[in-house]
Amino acid sequence: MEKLEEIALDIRRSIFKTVYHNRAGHLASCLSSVEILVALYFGGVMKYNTANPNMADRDRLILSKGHVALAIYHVLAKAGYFDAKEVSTFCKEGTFFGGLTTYGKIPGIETTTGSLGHGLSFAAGVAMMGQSDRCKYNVYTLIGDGELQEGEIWEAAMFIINHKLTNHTIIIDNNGIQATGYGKDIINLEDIAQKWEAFGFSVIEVDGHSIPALLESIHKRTDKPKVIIANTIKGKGLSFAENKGDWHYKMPSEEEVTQGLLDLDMTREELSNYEK
Amino acid sequence: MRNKYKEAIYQLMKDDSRIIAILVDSGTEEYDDVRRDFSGRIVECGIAEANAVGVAAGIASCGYIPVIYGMGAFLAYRAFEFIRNDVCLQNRNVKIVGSGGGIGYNNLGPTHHTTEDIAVMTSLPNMTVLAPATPLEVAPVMMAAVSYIGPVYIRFGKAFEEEIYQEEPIIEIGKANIIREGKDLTIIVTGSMISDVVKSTELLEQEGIDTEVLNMTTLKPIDKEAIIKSAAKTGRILTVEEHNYYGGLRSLVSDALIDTGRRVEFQSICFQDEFCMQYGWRQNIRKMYGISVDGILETARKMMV
Repeated sequence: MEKLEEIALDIRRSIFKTVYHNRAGHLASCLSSVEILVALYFGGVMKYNTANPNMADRDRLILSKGHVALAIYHVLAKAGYFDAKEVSTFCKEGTFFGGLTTYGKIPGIETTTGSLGHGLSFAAGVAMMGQSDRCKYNVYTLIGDGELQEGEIWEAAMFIINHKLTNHTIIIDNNGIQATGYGKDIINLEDIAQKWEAFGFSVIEVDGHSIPALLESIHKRTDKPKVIIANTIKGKGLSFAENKGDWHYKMPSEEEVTQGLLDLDMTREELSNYEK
Repeated sequence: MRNKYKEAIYQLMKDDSRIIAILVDSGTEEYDDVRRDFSGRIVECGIAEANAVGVAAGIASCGYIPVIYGMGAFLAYRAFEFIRNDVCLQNRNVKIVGSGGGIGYNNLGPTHHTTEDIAVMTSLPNMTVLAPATPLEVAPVMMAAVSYIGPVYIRFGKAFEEEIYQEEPIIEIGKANIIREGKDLTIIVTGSMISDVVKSTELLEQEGIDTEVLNMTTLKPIDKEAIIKSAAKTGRILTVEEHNYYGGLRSLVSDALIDTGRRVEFQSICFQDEFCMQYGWRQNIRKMYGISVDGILETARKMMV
């Protein structure tokens, strides 16, 4: 079996390549979520069936952080939902693979997101129906830390606790940066863990780029609904973009591309070899 | 209407186990029977309407039919973006019953009124908008809404709506009901204003004005055919609604006329781009804004000159 860390590197390269060729995508936002997605899909966590994407008892990943679109497309392709070359249409005329995830045409995408704060309420409804004896499954919701500024997140949090939705896990991609800069300079959320604990959740804080740590936190049994705060680096893997406040939606310059190839251990040829 | 709703939702939930009741600290008495017999199929969301709509969309994605019941103002306005993105954009099979349509919460004032809900709800692609006019329309409207696959907003009433039928009418989505046939003037009405319209037509008849009445239980898709047919017959259309000037029945009917190039004499009775700031009995508030029998008579007479 391919090592999970190798899969993560491969996904990073694919994201970089698509951004380079298609000049679109939330590059840095995608890179902070890579290990989380790899752990869920390839670490033996999620139950899914690419031949039957709508299998009733599949586990669901709800991407409240819809900005992770390009990362999830490559993860779903790698999992076998569709051919990776379909992703090369990313953000081009006629594609279903948009800059934010849209429900309906792409197998494996459970709901439309992009407007922040929507995924958690939707996920709570899905989780509630997944507690019946007839059909049991787990639900995972990926949220960005900036998204916690949306009041909706806390409405959903109260609902999840009140209805004891223990089949639901929140994973916060805590990269500390939002659209226009560092979260702490915009609306400082201070101690995120304390807030979730106060609402009644079991909170686990982990290194969001360590797949073993992520897996351990996902598998850890808790009595109360769980929140995993995955501490990540926005732009992880690309030295010029890592933890930079201005990299929410930016395209790499030619100089940065050269640096990116070094960072991701890729050749120019590998970058140019792009099947459309 | 609430008493009829209580019976209707109970019967629907009894007949179809896919229906899930979504409440937002709402449905005090209306859901008593449901609470007693189907407590496992009630999802209480508390005073958090946007979350309720998101939750409902998630529930619908699992093959269930969530029916949200709450005050129309808080669903149509506060939860609007959730209705747009989570329900309509994804064409989720969610039913939204907004109570107190128009100024049903007469004594609670403008924050609780829904005098722009037709405008915002009909503006959404994939959305169907229904409005029962009398207590006897409630059960067939709810049945039609639940049988239809896709988002539906039901502009529901509250209490004391007057009845005009002897028995339950047949309600078909997209079809206007012709309540009265006439040749001089067409009154197109939605919601509980129907009883004032029926009273007005009786008085107008005594003055020799023969009125046709179209009851628009479906606001979207609006029954263009019925509008055009009646317009061709009478050449005069008067719309009557408890809604603001923009985006309501007046706009929907005039859009239908423009689309087909039909020229008629056209007047409307509605709120004149204003919030309803008055308190008191609903009938009395309506009178203050001219949305009443007197208002209808006055406008109808002018149109006949």
